[in-house]
Amino acid sequence: MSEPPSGGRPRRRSARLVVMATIALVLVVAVIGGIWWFRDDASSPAPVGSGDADAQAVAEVLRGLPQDPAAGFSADVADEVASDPHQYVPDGAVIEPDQESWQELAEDMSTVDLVMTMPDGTQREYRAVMVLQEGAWVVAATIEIEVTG
Amino acid sequence: MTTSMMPFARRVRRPVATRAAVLLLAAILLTAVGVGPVGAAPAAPAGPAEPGAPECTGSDLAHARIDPADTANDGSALTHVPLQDGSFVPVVLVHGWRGSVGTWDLHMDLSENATAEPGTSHRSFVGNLQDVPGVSVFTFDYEGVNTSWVTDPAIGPTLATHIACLHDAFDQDVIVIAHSMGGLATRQAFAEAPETAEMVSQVITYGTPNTGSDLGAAGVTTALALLAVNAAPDPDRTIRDLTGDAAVDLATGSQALAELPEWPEGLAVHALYGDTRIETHSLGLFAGAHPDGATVAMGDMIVPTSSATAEASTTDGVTCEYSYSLTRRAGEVVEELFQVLGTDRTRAGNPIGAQAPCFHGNLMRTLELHNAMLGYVVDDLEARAVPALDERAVPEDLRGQWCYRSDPDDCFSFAELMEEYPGSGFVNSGSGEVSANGSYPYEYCFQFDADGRCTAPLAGRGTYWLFPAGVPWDCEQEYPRTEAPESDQWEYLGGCNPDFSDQHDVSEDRLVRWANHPYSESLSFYDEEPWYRR
Repeated sequence: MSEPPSGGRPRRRSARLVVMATIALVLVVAVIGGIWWFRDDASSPAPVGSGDADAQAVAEVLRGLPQDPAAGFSADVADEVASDPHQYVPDGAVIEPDQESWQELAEDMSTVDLVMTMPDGTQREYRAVMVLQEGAWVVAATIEIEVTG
Repeated sequence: MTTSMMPFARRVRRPVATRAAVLLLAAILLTAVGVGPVGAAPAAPAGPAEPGAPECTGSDLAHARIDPADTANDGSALTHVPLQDGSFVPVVLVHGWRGSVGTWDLHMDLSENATAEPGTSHRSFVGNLQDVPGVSVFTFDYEGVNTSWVTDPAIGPTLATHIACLHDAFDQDVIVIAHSMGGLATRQAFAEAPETAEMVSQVITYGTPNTGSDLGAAGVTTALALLAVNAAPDPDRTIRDLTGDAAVDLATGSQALAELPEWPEGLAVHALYGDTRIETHSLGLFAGAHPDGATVAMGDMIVPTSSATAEASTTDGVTCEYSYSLTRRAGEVVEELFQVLGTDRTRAGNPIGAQAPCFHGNLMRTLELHNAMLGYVVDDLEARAVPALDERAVPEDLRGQWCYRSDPDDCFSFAELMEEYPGSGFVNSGSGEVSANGSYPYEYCFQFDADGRCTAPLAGRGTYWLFPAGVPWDCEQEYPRTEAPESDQWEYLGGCNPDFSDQHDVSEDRLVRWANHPYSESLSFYDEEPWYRR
């Protein structure tokens, strides 16, 4: 029997995470989109629950990622991130969550938009999918927000 | 049409699947709101030309009326047309969870072709079925208990009763067309009364969750309830439905599904399904984005493809591919964008929106699936149809099947003779003149010559004698036993042997054909058994 290729396991776990996160996001959008479509006033749905404390906790986790990236990711991808944490969140980057964008999708799943300022000053925007694991909010995946204009 | 990728359920770990389930359940609620009843088709009184079955119909089974808006291709009124043998085949439509018979009033206006603008079909779903010769459409309605599980007495057991009744009333196997949980109701009907599976020729399902839906796998959470109630126009009903039996029993891995027997072996089950695929290229982990992103197979957004096609004899699906992205103009809020993939990549589309061909609640509006459904129905009817024989060349008095009473299966018809012997027919168009005994002789020629004359030898022609009702036959009176003078032995007649006079029922028409040489060695007349019209 041949040995599994080096690094195969993390890649598989990463792929699984990607799928999981995509499903979650797509469902979120689909549901929210559905709500918009079916609602008479076509207004944005109200976030579920109060969640101020959770929103604050999520923001603190994200702000702390540049200092300790490995600590802020879900168990599914923690190993992969730990192998090269600054590939994902460069050392010296600054993350600023937009707490107003925070939405609790379920008791242990939420999304929040954020801006990551790179060490060279450039900025990237993401929507992070957060999951609650062992009492702590961690990042499951991100979708980059394309900024135009 | 394609088959789905890896099933949704196998791609996710349970914790995320749970969350996904919660959100999906919200989606199904919204779906039901959006594509729900749009005016239930009322039970119509069966008119004289309508092939209804009054003994079977009632509050929960209706013979679908022909909507005046559903017209024939030339604009004339749609009418029920029987099969060539005059019969009809009952087709039963079974709606799904939270559904009603209004499900079947929809028109086909969606296509999986991303570039197509299909418009709206000329006729409704029911109308297109009613346009098929031989089809008689019935709708099974369990709206009053449509959030209960299929074991409810008003669902599976009642459907079984109706299937049996329609089968007996029409003397034809029933066709069942079911949406979503309606397919599970049909499985339950077969479980309740296994003999009904033998009364059904095929079942056509639209998005039936044979192995469940991934919604609600973990039950209903407060968050979900709030989300759903927030969106639903009838919050009280939504709450009731969320806590109904079916909301739990429809979930993948539920005990109720485990107890529901599979489709009966040998039954033709045609599964129609939606296959939604969503690409997200910008998915990843911050700067470590995956360049290829991810594509997920979502089935019809409610039912995974693997569930919709489980145990099916055939599958026909529609595939809808979307990309998902987030964009923001400087100074504005983030927008979520679904785009329909295809030659036109700029068109926005919501995979659970009203224009999503692959969405669970829209499957009956999708042209490709409708065409597949009609194909299965038409094939079924064609297989049953008895080709009509052309009887125009047969004298009216002789048309139809003629059978012996001693062997009712031993029959013939002149139309069959004409098919078996091309070019044969009646001499002088069969214009029979009444004979002395009151019968009418019709001479039949098995082969006319080129001049249209019957010059075939005696074996190639024959005379059929029609005895109309009221005209008796007494063979010995016709051919009495007499002495033959020595001058001409043919004057001797030996009576009848055999004699079928007592088998003539004068209350009915009879037909007799005697041999061209009907005399035995003893010069007895060889009588023949009469045929009776079937």
